[in-house]
Amino acid sequence: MMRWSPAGVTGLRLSHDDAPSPGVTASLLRLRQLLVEKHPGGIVDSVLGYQTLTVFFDPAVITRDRLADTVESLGADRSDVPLSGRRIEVPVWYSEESGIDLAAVAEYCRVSADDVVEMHSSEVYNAYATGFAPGFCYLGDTPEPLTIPRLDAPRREVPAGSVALADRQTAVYPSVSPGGWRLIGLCPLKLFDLGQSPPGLIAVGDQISFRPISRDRFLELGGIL
Amino acid sequence: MTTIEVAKVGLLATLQDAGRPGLLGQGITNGGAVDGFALRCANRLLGNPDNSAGLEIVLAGMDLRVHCDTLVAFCGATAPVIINGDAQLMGRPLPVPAGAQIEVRPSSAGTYTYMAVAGGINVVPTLGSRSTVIREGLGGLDGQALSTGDQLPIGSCDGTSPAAHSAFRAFVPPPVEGPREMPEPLTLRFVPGFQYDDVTESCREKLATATFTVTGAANRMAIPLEGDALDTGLSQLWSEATCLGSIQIPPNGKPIVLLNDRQTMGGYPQMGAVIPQDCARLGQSRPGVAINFRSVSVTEADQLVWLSEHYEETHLQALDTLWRRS
Repeated sequence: MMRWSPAGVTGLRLSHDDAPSPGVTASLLRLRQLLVEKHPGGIVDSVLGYQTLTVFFDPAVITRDRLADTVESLGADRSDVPLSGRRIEVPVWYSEESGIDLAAVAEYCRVSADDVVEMHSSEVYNAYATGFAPGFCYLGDTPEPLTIPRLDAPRREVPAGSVALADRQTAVYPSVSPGGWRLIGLCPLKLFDLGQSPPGLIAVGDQISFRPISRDRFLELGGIL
Repeated sequence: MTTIEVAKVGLLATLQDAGRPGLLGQGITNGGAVDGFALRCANRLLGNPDNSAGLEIVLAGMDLRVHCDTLVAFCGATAPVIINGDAQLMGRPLPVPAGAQIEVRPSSAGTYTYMAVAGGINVVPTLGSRSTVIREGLGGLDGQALSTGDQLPIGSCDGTSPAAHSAFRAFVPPPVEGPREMPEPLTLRFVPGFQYDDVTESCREKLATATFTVTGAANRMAIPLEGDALDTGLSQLWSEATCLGSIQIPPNGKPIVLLNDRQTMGGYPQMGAVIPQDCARLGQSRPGVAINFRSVSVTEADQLVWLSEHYEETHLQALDTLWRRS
């Protein structure tokens, strides 16, 4: 079931009743595609959240009411469709040197550091949402035993490329920024590069897996310490 | 040399244009002048396209040196402008000869003073815009705030010599938006949305009736307000889009209104979004200004925005006549 409500004067927020899942993401992505096809030039921007699609429209091209009519005519959307995003493999140098919380995560989760690495790198993650910072992608779900709360107070500076955990989510910090997630490793890839089009490496709907690499390999791949 | 040199910076100054729309889905904020109308007025006074980049000067206090004959115009927060020792008026084209010193003294009202230059400030655009987002290192000069010694490339100086525009000195331009008329308390009209229907009744009521004040933590990203704490009754939410004017209620219950450099997504409850014109007024408000909220229907909001845009366009067209007459 999809519901709509205003997001300011030129936005429409479409929310899915179902709990976040790759299927919900897939149906939101398809809804966005249909809206863009039906109203070329009318949709000027869109943001996918875990359960929401917020579209921003050009009121000179389409009215809010017409856009809402289109949404309603598309009807309730199924959330059991498969995702058709890209498969992206992200190399990670997991260690206590590159991920200062690795030992603490292992202790909190009552497993060994090797188990943390093994569990984190054996899952395929859904890219649910992009935001917070350019190139930052919310990936989930991490294996249940790796569930861990955020830090009580965020760190002022998290190194660029940090691979991190919070709740049932994981992410790579694209640039140096404040952050409250638990750091378990470093990725040598640039998650956000203005020289690329689009500049973000990961898009909503992509499926991400992490592959453990050594410190040497991290440096070979352009990782910076 | 067709540049303007930053001789001394005050609190903060950045390059801004109309912003970087269409990239929210990639996590890239809109940016752009907080008081977009003030920057458009300054640009139109010089015959520039609306999207030309100008300086956004916070609480003013900035010295510039001009290295070629050009024209400049100031709009927005009221600040004394002194060119080669002579006091000038805001809201009109000012001829500036090569070598001149421009002083922008601390403003007496408002937060953001805009300076446009004939031909615009032509740094290389990033993702289609020259607007600076310091947090992301986008736009401006290397994505940073302006600093002493920066040389800003400006547009062609052809035909903008002071002599060519001496007519401006005698011509009284039509009224230009200078200091916005800002009654206190400032009422922010907002369209309810997001979690508005999910929060407690007392939370909605408090937002409608309480008076808040602008805090000193206000910046281009957001305006945190001080006042009675609101209890939304909601715990953790799934992250979703924010928008210009989003009224976020963080765990401490003090509303935060999101502005141009906002994060594209957030996980705090949002009560709706303040209409764009009131966002500009809020942005121009100094710490301590009293704030009320009033919810409006989407129909009323559409009418308010339409009227406001019509009013702005009428002003801008009046400024265009300046160029037809010269």
